[in-house]
Amino acid sequence: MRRFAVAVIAAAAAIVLLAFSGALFGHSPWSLLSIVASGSVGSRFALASTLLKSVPLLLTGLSVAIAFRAGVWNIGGEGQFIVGGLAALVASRFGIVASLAAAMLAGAAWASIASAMRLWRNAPEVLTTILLNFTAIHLLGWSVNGPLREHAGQYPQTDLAHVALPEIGGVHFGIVIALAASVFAWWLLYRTAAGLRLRATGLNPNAARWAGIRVGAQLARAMAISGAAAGLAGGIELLGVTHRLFERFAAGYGYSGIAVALLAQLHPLATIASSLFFGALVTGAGELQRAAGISAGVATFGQAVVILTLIVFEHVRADR
Amino acid sequence: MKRTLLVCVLFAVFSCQQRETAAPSAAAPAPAAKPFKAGLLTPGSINDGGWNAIAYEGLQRIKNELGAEVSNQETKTPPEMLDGFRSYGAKGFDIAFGHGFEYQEPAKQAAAEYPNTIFITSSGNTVTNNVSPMRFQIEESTYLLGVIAARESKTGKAGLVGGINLPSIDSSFVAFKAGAQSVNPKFEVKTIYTGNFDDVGAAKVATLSLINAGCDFIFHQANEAGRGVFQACTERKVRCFGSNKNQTDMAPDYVVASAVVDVPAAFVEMAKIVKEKRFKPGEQHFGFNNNIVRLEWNDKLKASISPQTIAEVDRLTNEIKAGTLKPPAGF
Amino acid sequence: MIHLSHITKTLGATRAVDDVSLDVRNGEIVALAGENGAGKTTLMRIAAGEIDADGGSVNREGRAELVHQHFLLVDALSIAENLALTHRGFRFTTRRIIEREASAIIESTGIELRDGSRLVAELSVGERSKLELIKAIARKPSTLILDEPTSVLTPNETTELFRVMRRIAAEGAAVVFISHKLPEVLEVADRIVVMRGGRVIAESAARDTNVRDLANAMVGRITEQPSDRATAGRITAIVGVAGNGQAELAAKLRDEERDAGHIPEDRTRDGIVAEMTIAENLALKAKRWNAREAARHAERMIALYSIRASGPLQRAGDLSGGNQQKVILARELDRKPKRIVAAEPTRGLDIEATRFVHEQLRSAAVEGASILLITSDLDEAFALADTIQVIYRGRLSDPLTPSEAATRVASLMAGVA
Repeated sequence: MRRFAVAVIAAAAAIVLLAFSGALFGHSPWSLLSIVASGSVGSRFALASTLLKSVPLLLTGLSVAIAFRAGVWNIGGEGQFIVGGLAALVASRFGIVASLAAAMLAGAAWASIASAMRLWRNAPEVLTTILLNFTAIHLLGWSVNGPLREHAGQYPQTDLAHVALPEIGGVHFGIVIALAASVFAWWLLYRTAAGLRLRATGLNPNAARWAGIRVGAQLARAMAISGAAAGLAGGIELLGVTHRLFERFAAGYGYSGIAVALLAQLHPLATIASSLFFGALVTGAGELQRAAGISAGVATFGQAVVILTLIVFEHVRADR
Repeated sequence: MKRTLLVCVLFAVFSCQQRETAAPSAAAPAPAAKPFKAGLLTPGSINDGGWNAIAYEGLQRIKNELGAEVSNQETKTPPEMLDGFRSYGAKGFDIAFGHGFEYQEPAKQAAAEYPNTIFITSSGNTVTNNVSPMRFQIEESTYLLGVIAARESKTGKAGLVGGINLPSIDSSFVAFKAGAQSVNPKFEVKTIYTGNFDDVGAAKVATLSLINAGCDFIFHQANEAGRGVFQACTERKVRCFGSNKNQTDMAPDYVVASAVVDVPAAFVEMAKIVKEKRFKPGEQHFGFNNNIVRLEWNDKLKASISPQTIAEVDRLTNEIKAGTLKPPAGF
Repeated sequence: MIHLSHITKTLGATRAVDDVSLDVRNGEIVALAGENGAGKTTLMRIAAGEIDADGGSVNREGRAELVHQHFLLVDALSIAENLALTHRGFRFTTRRIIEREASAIIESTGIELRDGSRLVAELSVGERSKLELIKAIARKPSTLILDEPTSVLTPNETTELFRVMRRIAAEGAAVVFISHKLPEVLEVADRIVVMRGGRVIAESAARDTNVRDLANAMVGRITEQPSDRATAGRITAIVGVAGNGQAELAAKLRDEERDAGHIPEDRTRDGIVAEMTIAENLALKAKRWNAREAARHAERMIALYSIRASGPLQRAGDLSGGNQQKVILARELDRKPKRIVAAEPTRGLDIEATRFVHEQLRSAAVEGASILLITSDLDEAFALADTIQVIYRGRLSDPLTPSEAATRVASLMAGVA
């Protein structure tokens, strides 16, 4: 429980720090905070927008949480998100379920390239997953300029997906899927023998091996589940929000998932709160630009500040 | 200790708050007339010195020249674009620019919800009652560059370096080729697309390969990556053209002329049209006629160009302005 | 020289050190004896200044160095680089310079450790402990504290260590030797202090006491003689000097005999997941996981294996070494495997815990399990095994009966037979 208290304090401290750094731009911290608040939760649209941003963040956050729990450093959420979107688009003609299933499979398969290289050639997945991100970005760029370019042929983007997720009040059904996924992830990690083995592998692979756990299989499994979550995020983003692919489709959701998961202390249920926090931060940052003219970098800056504060607070705690 | 800290923080927050309210805001306008409001969404940072910076400059000119209230936001994803447009709609903005073709759909969606705001996209083809694209007829200028290249080339070959194969870019190349071949039907124009707008190295390599293939004039549409084109041309002493703005300073001894698009002026013109209630849905054309697209010579090199060529370019310019010559476009 | 007076320290809910006063004079070797969890290590960490006491005062003359029971070495670096980490500033250097400096340092300590370019990861446990000792001695401490240094050493290495200790004391340093191996304590120490439950129970000069008195003081009751051996299954002991392929053998068996019970040599590294609860550690081999069932199972195991813990949800890493070993035993033996591979199952354990482990192995054998005991403790091998094999440079000798082994084991271990 104390871990989460530290996370909450860190998040709050980061917000205060951010607001005060606004003073450098000649704004009062208080007015900045109220702009962020009104821009992220102040109206129905703002709230819907925050929720829309939180959905992919929740899924990529879960992806990171599961992988890190198992001691697998999957930094490839961005690439898995992209191939998830690609697969979902291609499979969209077969319906929503098939499309999302394809997204998960593609994400899992893409991530598994990294675990295969780890298991057969001992290539560190921190590197391979990052490299696979670049590969996926180029794959996407080639696809939208080449084989998947819209039929009108005008712009480097694909045609609309054949199906779309149903919407209620400006928020698509993906939010339900994402929430279900985080409950599932929690159940998997903390309520099943498979989850126990994943966690044991992450905490102490040597002990896990001596306890008869096939460590390699755990790594592969964690990577596949993690990739599936990121792929699902891409699929849902496609069917719920963008409806088509273009080069900037992933928009950093894969990387932001790392921040989301770290703030959530790698706990699947806490990831819900964490993703809402970052979703609100990004949406609020938009309003901050429009209303106060503060650069877009503030959202990224905010993410960094949150993580740094978190690290500082954890160390303060560790020292005591 | 902790409590002291908390008190300090609260004190600081509220003292800042008070200072803010105490100082009367100088910017507060007289309330009577509703001010004209213009918003801008850019796909990248307004400090990029290129595509986005130009749009921001336009927005600043709208503020200064039309006394408008302005706001801008960097938006990368469709939901952000939609947020931005909706927010401008909800706050009663008169005009909202989306600087790129990718803004068409968010504009269309927000426009349906906010019929009193006019949504303008930089390029595109989506038109509704309150959505229209701006169309910069850079072809009028690149056609003339083609003419210059064909008349002045010794090898009979010119090279084109593009970033991403977008309709607007392809179209300017089509016009370049048409201009060149109007002089010499056998004139060869080679094109390379590097696939992005920021890889300077790739643009340089592409340029070098065109030069190796015998091209002695290079024109680019590679935005920031165009830097690589000028590097290659300077190294190999090959003449070239600037695009979008006057790029003479990029390679003062080799840039012969630039196909200039005065985007900021177009933004101001567009806002003026909306402010004066002259807006009609449809493609908003900006070209030689309203002096937003221009051909600008490098005065230092103009002397090295044959007087006949210069006279021919002047003649064609007048024809285009008069509407008797319409350079072909790719779409 | 150190002077501790009325030291108290509470760790979690337990009073680890309870009003302890202790003097160690220069030139003297003092042994601190006691069972696991008696407070010896905590007291000495306070003495060395690693942690602060809750109450009492510490007077230290000069530098105190504490050599830990677990290693504080960087596996990925060489011996020389590990020495450079503690003995050099951030000066420009080359590999050759630090290796030359390292060999000078090693030589100055009089401890034998060849080839400073070897990676720590490749060293045997005995060699690692030598390196730790070198690190500490090279800093010329006025007080040297050694925490269970002999638990990983062969008899020869132990003799060498004692020689070094005596020399350091003769040169004027104060030496504290934490151990629960009473014969060793009697052999090397001038004075022996026995701790139990955080307090000093007995203190006397080495010449005025004996193993039996000390053991009684440590355990608090009369120690029993080992019961007679009566095993239905077989216990085969593999003995040898550390680093002759025991670890590889155990790892190979682990991967090949997945249904067997495996007790790893390095229990903190390979045996338990420190961050997990006792219940979770016990369930690692289970097919199904249900938190409530696992807690119930853990409660049973805690009672059955007399694990000293606050409950099934205590972090396994917070348990003392002996209790961690009991958790591992509970996990590996409770499933009644037909085969058990136990590597150094009593290393670092106190008398009580050692006896408990031996009893468990014996009763498993009685119930029909065949047991492979890999140990460097010859007493343990002779006490338990029906058959003894010697491992030397990765090769196993022919099986020997204990009586055959008694005459041949020493030469086989040395590789001269």
